[in-house]
Amino acid sequence: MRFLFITIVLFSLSSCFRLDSFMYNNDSTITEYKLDDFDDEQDFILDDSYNIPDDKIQLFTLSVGAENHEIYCLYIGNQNTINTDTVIFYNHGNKDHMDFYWQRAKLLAHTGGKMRYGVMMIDYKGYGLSGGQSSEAGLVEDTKEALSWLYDQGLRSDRLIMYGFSLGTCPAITIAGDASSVLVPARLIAEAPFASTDVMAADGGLLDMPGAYYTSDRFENAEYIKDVEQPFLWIHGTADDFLSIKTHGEVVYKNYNGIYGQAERVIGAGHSTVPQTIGFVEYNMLLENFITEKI
Amino acid sequence: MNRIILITACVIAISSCAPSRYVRPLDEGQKAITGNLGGPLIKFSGMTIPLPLTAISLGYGLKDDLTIYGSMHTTALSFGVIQGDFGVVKEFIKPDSLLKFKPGFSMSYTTNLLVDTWEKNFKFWPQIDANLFWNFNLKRKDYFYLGVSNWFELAARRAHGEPQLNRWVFNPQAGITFDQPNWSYNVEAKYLAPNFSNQNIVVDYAKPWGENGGLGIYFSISKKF
Repeated sequence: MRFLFITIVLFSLSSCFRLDSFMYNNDSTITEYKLDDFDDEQDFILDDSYNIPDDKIQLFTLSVGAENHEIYCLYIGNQNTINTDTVIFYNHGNKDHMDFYWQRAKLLAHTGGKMRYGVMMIDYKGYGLSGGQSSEAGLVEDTKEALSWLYDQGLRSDRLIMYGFSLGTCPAITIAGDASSVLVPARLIAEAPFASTDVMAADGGLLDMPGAYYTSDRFENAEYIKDVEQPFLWIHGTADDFLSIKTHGEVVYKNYNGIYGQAERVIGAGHSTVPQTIGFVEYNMLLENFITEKI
Repeated sequence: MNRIILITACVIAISSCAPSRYVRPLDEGQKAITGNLGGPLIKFSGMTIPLPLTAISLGYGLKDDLTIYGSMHTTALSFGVIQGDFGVVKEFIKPDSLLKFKPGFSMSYTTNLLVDTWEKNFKFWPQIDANLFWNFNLKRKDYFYLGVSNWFELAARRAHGEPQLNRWVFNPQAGITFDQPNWSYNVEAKYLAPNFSNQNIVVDYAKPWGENGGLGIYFSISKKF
């Protein structure tokens, strides 16, 4: 009888916890974006030759969703020429906020030469100064809102490149395969993509355990990529000690069935060290060649 | 990604989530309720700690050498995952006195069942444990043991139709049980999955033995009646 009582109590307590928020390593404690003045931990810091003139950096906000959460956006380039420019939309990874990824955005802004392409980056809900809470659906919703803004500025799908890194590969791949999106990228780049939370769970627990056991967010890039037709560049470090190239990246790339796939397995690179390992100049050349490749 | 996220994967179900249920069977007709706490050592906030996984078990001695048991994993339950196990342990060789160093030998079979309350994903894994155990206090039946716990993955494919990578996870283990008439206490250490690399996974396990496996520590207390 006592065991029955305990069991009932335990069942009544079940489902109290869900671990979705643990998927996001966001920092929402900042009071301002510092960009070049950000001096906390970063993956790399570019030298002064990569500086962007202040008048080519625009920080602004957009209102997202029914709750009108304000998300922060950053555009590198000339907003007045978006209607003729090609834009790289950078979906950053799960760490901190845009300051952490500022160096990466600057590096992208040197693809094909200094500011040949416009670069846009956002802080998803819950990141940096953006309001709200992070979720898989929120990543996509925030990105779509930013794409709507680009559309309103005159950008069209044939001049949009989407680049996702780690967590950011989820909205990038999802939208690349979503024909109903206001903008669908002409080309897709995914650096260190994860296959899904199922694979994360199986890798971490050794046995074949569903990701649903701990999170509602599924991040099923390995399935979403099947809807992508556009040219696809996959970049992954062979020494990625966080998202295994074998169980994550290779599966995503294998499931791509589009018109042109290019795989760059970067020997010796870890999860966050692909650009440094390739070399910044060579990294920019890799992207430029993919973007301009006649297909 | 935050490396602690998949710590929670082990919260819910892996071969390292609990100690051996019974090494030496209960006496015939004896019942026991056991609570256990512990799990793989992980690095968390600069410290190395065992995951605080918990479970409650009931055991019943069918015969002096045969005990059946069932458990509910309470930590998993709090995350919306119903994880239970049930099984049987058989003593094949009774231990002799300490002076003769002749160990007892037992084997157990356990079925581990999981279903989440969110998407109703159902999984089960069979488990076979084998243990040698030595009495070192015959008056109180205290004993220590050495053994191995084996989990088997039956699914032919893993997520996204990929070939199954892991079929067999084994965990060598050692423990000590202090056995009083109405209570017993147990501490167990497991060398978790020494046949697998602990690299390139999201979980930041403590790695006392280099690039393979991990270490689990477990504490149990039983009330017998």
